[in-house]
Amino acid sequence: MSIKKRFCATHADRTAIGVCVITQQPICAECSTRYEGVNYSKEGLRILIERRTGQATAVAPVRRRKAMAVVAWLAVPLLMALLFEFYLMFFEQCIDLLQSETWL
Amino acid sequence: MSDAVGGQFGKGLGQGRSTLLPLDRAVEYARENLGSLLPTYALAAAPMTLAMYYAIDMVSSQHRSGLPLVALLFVVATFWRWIVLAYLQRRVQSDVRGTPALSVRSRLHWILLLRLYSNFLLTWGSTLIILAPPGMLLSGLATPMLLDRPGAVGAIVREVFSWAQNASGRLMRIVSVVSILSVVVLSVVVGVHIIVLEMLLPSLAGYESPEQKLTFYSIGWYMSVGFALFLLFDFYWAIASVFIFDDLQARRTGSDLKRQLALVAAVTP
Repeated sequence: MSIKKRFCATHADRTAIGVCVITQQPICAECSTRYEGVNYSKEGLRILIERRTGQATAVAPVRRRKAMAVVAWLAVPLLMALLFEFYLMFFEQCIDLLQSETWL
Repeated sequence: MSDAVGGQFGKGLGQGRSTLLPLDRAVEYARENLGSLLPTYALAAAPMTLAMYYAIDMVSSQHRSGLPLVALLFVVATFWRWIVLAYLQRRVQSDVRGTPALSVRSRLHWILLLRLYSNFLLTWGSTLIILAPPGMLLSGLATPMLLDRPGAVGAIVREVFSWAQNASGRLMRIVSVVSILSVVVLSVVVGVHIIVLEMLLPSLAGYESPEQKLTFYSIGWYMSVGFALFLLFDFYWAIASVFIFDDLQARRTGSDLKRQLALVAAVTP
């Protein structure tokens, strides 16, 4: 969004230095807070904190979490078999390499 | 020791803001604590070394029927290595934080589960190349993330994944640097090996025999050298991962700043 007026949304007499990435409002140097390389207005920063806090505390439904854990553990025998298969294949490749004529 | 080391190694995490700072700090930490870290790592790597010795014997004698047993021994030795590495990483994490991390025993089954998934990404996933870096990162971060604080494991893993997603560019640079370094070390070792055998020994020492070539160009020799390099890399990555996790956490939550404030508060009467 371009800054049409080029004046801060809060301080009408001050020139805007950028646009808040959350509220899309033009902001002056005093209203701007630079965080993670991006400009935020005070309102934008408040919304960001709310979002981050919400993300941190958001808990998936208990049933879904349990189902995911069960699926994760059910895959263990398969993963162990694949690990075994990987080692077996690796050493067989070593023997194949040894038997090939290109080996010194 | 923890407090002193924690104070020393806990400082400056957020000050440098260099992508490769955790790798430098890991080298410094490993250098200063080599005497106490090495016995633990030797314990972790011992069964795998024995399995490798047996594997070299089987491969050299082209004894294919013995390979399933070798592979089984490797699976068991891999799990043993993950368990002891978890204790080693806990010790490093406690030193870095300045406070003890959670006990390994309480989270061991989850650590092993994450390690198993990361190993899948590293081995079979690496055929797609793009899956290898996440596997490498997950293998190192599994222990520090799970021993950092109590709480639901799923929520902790999701939180750390979101940190990693936000820092994906930086993490990719770290993985790239470590991978390139590994390739450079491997090339140097192979180069030195060839120079010594083809130039130095025959011309300077006048020593050249078919037996020597038979030994040093054998697959057993190359497997031994490759395994030794793997152990070196594994030892370094286990330590570096703790520092990478600490750096990730510091950048997202300011934990390094909080730690420094706590230190200042403790010192100030």
